[in-house]
Amino acid sequence: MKILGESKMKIDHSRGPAGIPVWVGIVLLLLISGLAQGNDLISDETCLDCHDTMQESLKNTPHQLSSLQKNTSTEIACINCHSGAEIHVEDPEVGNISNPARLEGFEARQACSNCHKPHVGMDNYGFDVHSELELNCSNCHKVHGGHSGLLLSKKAEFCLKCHEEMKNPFSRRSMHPVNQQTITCLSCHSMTKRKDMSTGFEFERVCQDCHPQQAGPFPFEHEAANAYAVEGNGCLSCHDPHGSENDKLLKQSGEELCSSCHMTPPGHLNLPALHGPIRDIENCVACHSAVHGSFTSHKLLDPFLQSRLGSPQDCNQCHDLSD
Amino acid sequence: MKNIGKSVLVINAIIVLLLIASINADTGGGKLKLGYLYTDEVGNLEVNQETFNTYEGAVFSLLDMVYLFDGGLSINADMQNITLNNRNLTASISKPGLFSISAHNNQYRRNYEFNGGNFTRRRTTSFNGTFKPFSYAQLFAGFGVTAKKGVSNDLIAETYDTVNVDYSHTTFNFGANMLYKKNSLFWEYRHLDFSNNVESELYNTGRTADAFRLSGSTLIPKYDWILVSGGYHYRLDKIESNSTELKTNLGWGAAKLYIPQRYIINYRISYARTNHSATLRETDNVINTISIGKSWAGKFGLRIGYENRVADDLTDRTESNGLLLNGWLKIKKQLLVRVFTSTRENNVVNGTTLIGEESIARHKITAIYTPSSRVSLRVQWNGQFASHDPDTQIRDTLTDTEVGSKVDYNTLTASLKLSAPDYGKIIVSHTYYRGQFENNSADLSYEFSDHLFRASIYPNSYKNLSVFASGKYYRSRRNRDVEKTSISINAEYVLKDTYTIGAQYEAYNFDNFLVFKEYYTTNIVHFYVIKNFEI
Repeated sequence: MKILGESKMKIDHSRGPAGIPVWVGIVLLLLISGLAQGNDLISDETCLDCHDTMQESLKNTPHQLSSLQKNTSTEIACINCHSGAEIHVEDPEVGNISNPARLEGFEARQACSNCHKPHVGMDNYGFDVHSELELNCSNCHKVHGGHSGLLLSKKAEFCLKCHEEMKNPFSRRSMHPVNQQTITCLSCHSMTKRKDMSTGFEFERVCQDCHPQQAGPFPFEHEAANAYAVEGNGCLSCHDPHGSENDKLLKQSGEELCSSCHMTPPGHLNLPALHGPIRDIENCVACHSAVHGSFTSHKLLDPFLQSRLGSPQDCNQCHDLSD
Repeated sequence: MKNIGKSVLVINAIIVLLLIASINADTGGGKLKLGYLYTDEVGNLEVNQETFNTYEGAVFSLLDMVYLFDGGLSINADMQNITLNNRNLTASISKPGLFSISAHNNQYRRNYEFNGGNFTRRRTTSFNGTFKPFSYAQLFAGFGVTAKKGVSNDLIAETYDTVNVDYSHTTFNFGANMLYKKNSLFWEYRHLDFSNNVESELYNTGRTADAFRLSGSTLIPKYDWILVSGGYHYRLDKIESNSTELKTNLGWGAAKLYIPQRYIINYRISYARTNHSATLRETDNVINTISIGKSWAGKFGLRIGYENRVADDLTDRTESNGLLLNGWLKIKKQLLVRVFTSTRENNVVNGTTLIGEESIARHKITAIYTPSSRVSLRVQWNGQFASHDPDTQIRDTLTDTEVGSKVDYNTLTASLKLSAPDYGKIIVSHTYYRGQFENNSADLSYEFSDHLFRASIYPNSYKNLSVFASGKYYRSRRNRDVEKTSISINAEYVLKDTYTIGAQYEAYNFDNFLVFKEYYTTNIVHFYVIKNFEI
């Protein structure tokens, strides 16, 4: 499990204990400096003598060389990522120095994980396709001269380069505005911000960032909307998040959607005695409009239903709303 | 006037940024874009989502601005459409390895009325900062507001009056991220505050939430082929008006074993308990997942997994068993085939649930054929199936608690990319979506059959002229009868390497053949000049 270049990346944080006589410290310093002279690390300047454009490509990136800037807590040098520099200096063959971008799969990710925690799924969490395909960090990131986040390209284009087929759902009748660049794939499929977000019943939190008004809790819940519930599948119970032929990203429209889980109670449809607006619309949400959860009704009825229908008397006088 | 005021404020902020940048200057530059966007719309403004967020007017943008100071400090800005209400702004100041502060703002409008009089606008603004006092520790904090204003027609436009949907959702968070010799520790506290401005208590859904996360991972000493990790998550949501609470405690643990010969074994367990004070329900969710994977050095990979889920709220208990198979095969870097399949059987162990027992299956096959650097062909099939009562004989005896619905959803996509170094690049793709939903309740069923064609042409630049064109055609049939078409042509000419003159034409058409009033056509023309600048 030894990592290429690992030995060069170790930083010695050891310090002498208090109370040691000064002369011991001096002797130790001399010894250490002697050892260091015999084991010189290759400096950035040495590398840049030949690879002068590399300095520019690292500017304005988190990997900007420490030797060229002031007051930074992180030591970054060429040899942190490229091991074998001592041999390469003597014999400047490409094969004499490591390049993490050319490593494959596990070894490549290990090289970067000396300083970076792997993204969710890339290491220990879940079945992630990026990990399974043995993708290297450099399949998505470019250390020398990448865009923001060192990504290979900007915003949604970055993911859609590989996931070509995912461009199409965002052109259906209703969709999330990814093609309009209002949001990106990473707005929902965040690989870095939600390292702990793993289990199914947490996914609905992703939607709540932008749609908090639909988020619970409610005194009267719609179980389907709660991924933690026994019968719930969260927002995805009713919505197709990429794109749909229906308005509001619904999987089905109108009463068809509701009837995939609910039986239509007798007398609810096609009866002439029904109130006009309900008969005309033939849609469950005409009355049960609080589909995400209600503050007033366990049947998820519209709190203003009575006044909206212009009913002169209380609904309870004719309808049994008790169960 | 209000929007003009905001634009002036943003432009002033940019000038201040540039002034700061000019002190102790090193190098910097970016692009200034100035133009005008014309729109000509006919029809129903609430039906074509692509143009909801398009505005007519003068456009000013500052793109890809980077300023580097001596010593490593840098300022970045990417501010699109500063003068319009669809502005999308990002700015940051950072010193790599030490700190970063970034700000982001964007807005999105949705129309709810034929003439566009009723609309909502969602504005998202966030600030984030990091500070790295040591090489192995990073502190972070953030603040964000998502605010929505306007009126919508809610669910039934024909019946109801407009509904005011104003709200603001404020969050702040802080925490730390530590990584030392491949041992990591992460913690975060997050607070959320939601409030709306609706006077009626019936719609006053103001609430708060507090969340805390802690997680860590480490390689086991002397057994560095075993990576273990675990975490704890707590979240409490409260409704202000009636003291309803939703509380979740979640703990998880995981192990990953890297075995020689490129075998990997994954195991994880998570346990969560959610308490709802209003329903007095306490729901447990337990998930156990194990998988074993093997790969043959860049040529072939296979993973097989099993997952057991239990959901139990003391009244009802369901248990599901899921199988997962994931494989890929690469043949001489020319052909990559990926196969993913998963099935799940969800059984009701105790009690009675509305949808009853469930069978779910999901399959995906992708083939990518790249015979040369000039040709790439991708084909993907995605099938999703769900069934609540597969036996037709049983269906006749359905009760209220057995809905017996079925879902059969298929997607087939083919895309072809052709490139010729002397001419340019063409990408064409077609997706066929087919869905059949059998809702036995009330004998209602639903069906759709959609086609989506997309083509993009990128000819090589000729002298200083570059042109790009794309088009889309969408047709939805069966229960829907909708057609959408759009084209986009963009041309740019570079003058003396510092100026670019450009024009973009876009046209959209929407028709719903079942709903008479749902038709829409628009032409959008955008003229602009881009100046590359250096400071």
